[in-house]
Amino acid sequence: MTRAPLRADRSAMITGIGAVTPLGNDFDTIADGLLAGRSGVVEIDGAGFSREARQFAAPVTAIPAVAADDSLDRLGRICLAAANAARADAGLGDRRGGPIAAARVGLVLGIGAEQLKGWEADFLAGGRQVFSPDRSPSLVHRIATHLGIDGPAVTVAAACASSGYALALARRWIATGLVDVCLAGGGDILSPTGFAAFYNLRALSRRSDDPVRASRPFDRDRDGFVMGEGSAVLVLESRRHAEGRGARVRGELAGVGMSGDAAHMVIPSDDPTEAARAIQLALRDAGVEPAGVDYVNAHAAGTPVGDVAEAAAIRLALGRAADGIPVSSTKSMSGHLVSAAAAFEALACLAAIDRQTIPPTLNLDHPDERCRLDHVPHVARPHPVTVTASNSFGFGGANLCLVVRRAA
Amino acid sequence: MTTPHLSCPVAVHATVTCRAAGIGVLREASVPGAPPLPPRFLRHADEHTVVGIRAVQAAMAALGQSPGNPRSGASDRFAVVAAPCGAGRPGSARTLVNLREGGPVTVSPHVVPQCSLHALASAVSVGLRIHGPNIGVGGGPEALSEAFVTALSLLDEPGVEGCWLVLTAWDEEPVLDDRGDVPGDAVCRGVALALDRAATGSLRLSLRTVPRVAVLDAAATTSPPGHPSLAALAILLEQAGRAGGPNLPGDCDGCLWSLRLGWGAMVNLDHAPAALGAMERRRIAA
Repeated sequence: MTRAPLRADRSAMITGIGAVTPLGNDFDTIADGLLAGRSGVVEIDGAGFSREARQFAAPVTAIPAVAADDSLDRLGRICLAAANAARADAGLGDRRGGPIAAARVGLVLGIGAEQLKGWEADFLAGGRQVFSPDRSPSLVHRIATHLGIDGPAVTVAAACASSGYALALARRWIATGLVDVCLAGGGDILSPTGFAAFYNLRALSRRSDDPVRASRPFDRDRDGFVMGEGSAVLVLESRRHAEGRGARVRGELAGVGMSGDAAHMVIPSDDPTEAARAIQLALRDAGVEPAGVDYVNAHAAGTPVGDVAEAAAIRLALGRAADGIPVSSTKSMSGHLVSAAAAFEALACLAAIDRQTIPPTLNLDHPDERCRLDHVPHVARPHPVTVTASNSFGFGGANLCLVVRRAA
Repeated sequence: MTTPHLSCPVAVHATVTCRAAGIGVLREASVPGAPPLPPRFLRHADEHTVVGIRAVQAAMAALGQSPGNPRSGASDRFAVVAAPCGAGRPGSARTLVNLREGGPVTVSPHVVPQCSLHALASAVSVGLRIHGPNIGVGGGPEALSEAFVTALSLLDEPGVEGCWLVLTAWDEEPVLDDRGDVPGDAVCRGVALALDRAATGSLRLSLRTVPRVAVLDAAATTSPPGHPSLAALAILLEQAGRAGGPNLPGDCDGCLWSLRLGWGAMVNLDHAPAALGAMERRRIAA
C-alpha cells in the first residue's frame, strides 16, 4: 500500500471544549454538576412519546444563539452552538480573520439519524419532506459553512458510539496530516419517534416515580436507560500545532480502540471478547498498561443486558487491575445522549482530570453482583487522575474506547 | 500539483443494481459462493441495506472465499464503512404515518436499527461476521465524498486490516406514495470495494490534496463539488469486472474515475502500478 508517512507527532491535543447539555453549556458548569451528583433528568411534556402517564428524560433547556443559525432546526442549532463554543474555547477565530483561517481545519460530527429527525419535525408540523427527494446539504456541511471551516467535513454514525468515532476519525486526520485542527463530536435530540422506538424496544426505563432516580446504571434494580439530548464538540490538534499557536491544552486524546461484536443488530454480545478488545486496543494505542488507568467512564446506560456485558468486558480487558480502578457512569446524571454520548463522556473524563475527582454513579443503591467493579456510588471520590478510559457501545455491535490523558 | 496522502489497493469489487419492485426477491435471495446471512436477516432491512449487503456478498463470492479465512484477503478484521445516500426514507415515512394514525405504540422498534445511518454498516458487520469497526457515513448528498475520505483514513487505525467500503444510492431519488412506498421502477445501486493493504488487485483508490493556496484562491469552500453519480462508478466497475481487470479505458496516467472534493482534494480510482505495467506491455505487443 502506498501511504504518506505518518507524522512523527501522533498526538491529538484537546484545545477546545464546547457543549450544550442537560447539565449546562460550558465546561465548568458541567464539571461542577457531574462532581456534585446533579441530575439533569426531569419529567417532560411527552404526550405522544409513549403510553406511560409520566415521561422522564434529560432535555437541553437553553440553546445559546449563534449568528446565522435561523436556517437550522433544533438539532442543527444545538450542534452549531457546541461547535461554535469549542472553536471559541480553543481561541480559534472565524473565516473573517482569526487563526482558524491560518490552518487547515476539519469537522466530524457523529449524528445517527439526522435525516430521520429532520423528516419527523417537518412531518409533525404538517410537511411532506419525507416523501420527496431532498438534496439539501447535510448538517455537518452547513455548520462547516457557518464556522468558515474549509477542510473535510464528514458525518459518521455508529449508534450510541457515534461521536466517539467522530473523535477517532478527527485524530486520524491529524495524524496523517490531512488537517491541522479538527472539531469533532456529535449531537442528538429527543423526538417522539426515537422515544417511542426505544420504548417499544424495551430499552427505556419505565420507572415513573422520581425522575432523578430513574437512571441507575449497574444497580440491580435498573430497568433501562433515560433518554437525553445535547451536543459536545472538542477541538483537536497536534501538539506541535497547539504549541505553535500558544493554545491552552485541556488534555490529550491519547488512544483509540474499536471493534465490532458482529452478533446482533440491537443486543450487546454476551461474549465480552470484542468489547474488551476495543479497550485493549485503545490502551495499547496510548502506550498505557491496565494498571496505569486511573478512571473508567463506563458506557453503562442502565439496561439490564448492556451493563453486565460491559462489566465483563472491563474485567477481561483490565484483568486484576480492574479491582483498583474507579468506574462510574455519568449517564446516571446526564441521561443517555445517544449520538452525543461518547463526546460528552470524553468531556466528563476531562472534568475528572481537571478536578482530580471521579464523578459518581447516582442511584447505585445495590450494585448488581454481575457488575462487580470498583464503583463510585452516589458521591464523587477525590482521586489522582492522569489517564482515563471512556467506553462507548452502540447498536450493531459498535465498540469504542477512548483514552483521554492529562496533558504532559 | 497534488500531494498524495492516502492510497490502497482494491482487492475486489462488486456491484448490485435492483429495481424497487425486485427488492423483495433480493431480500430473500442467496448469493452463490458467498457466506450466507442468518435466516430472515434482511426481513426488516431498508432497501439500501438489502442492495449494499448483497454487493458485499457478491464481492466476497468474487474473491472465492469467505470472511475469516486467512487466505481470502478480506479478513474478519476489516472495518465496514457504508455510505447509504438518503437511506431510511421509506421506512421513516411509514413510521411517521403510523405514528400519526396509531400513536406511539405503533412505532416499530426496527426504525432505530434499520433506518438510521449506521444500519447498512451494522448489517454488513453482523450479517457477515466482520469484527472491525462498522461506521455509517454521510447520509446526505455528499455521502460519496465523505465515504472515501473516511474509509481511506481508517486503514491506519489499530486492529484494522482493511476496509469494506459500501456505497448505495437510488439512481434518482424517488417520490414516495402516501404510505411511504417506493415506485417499483426506481433503481437502487450498490457498490462494494474491498480496500486491502495486502492485496495485489488491479485497481487502486487514492486521495490527494491540493495545495492550500489553491483552495483559498478557488473561494469555493461552499460551492458544490462536481460529484459524478454513484451510477457512473457502478457502471465503470461493472465494465471492469467484465473486462477481467486492467483492460479498461482511462487517461494516460491510468486514472479511471475521479471525484473532486469541495475542500481541495481528489479521489482517484486508478489502475494499480502492477496492472498498469501489464497494460502497457499489452499495448507494446499490439
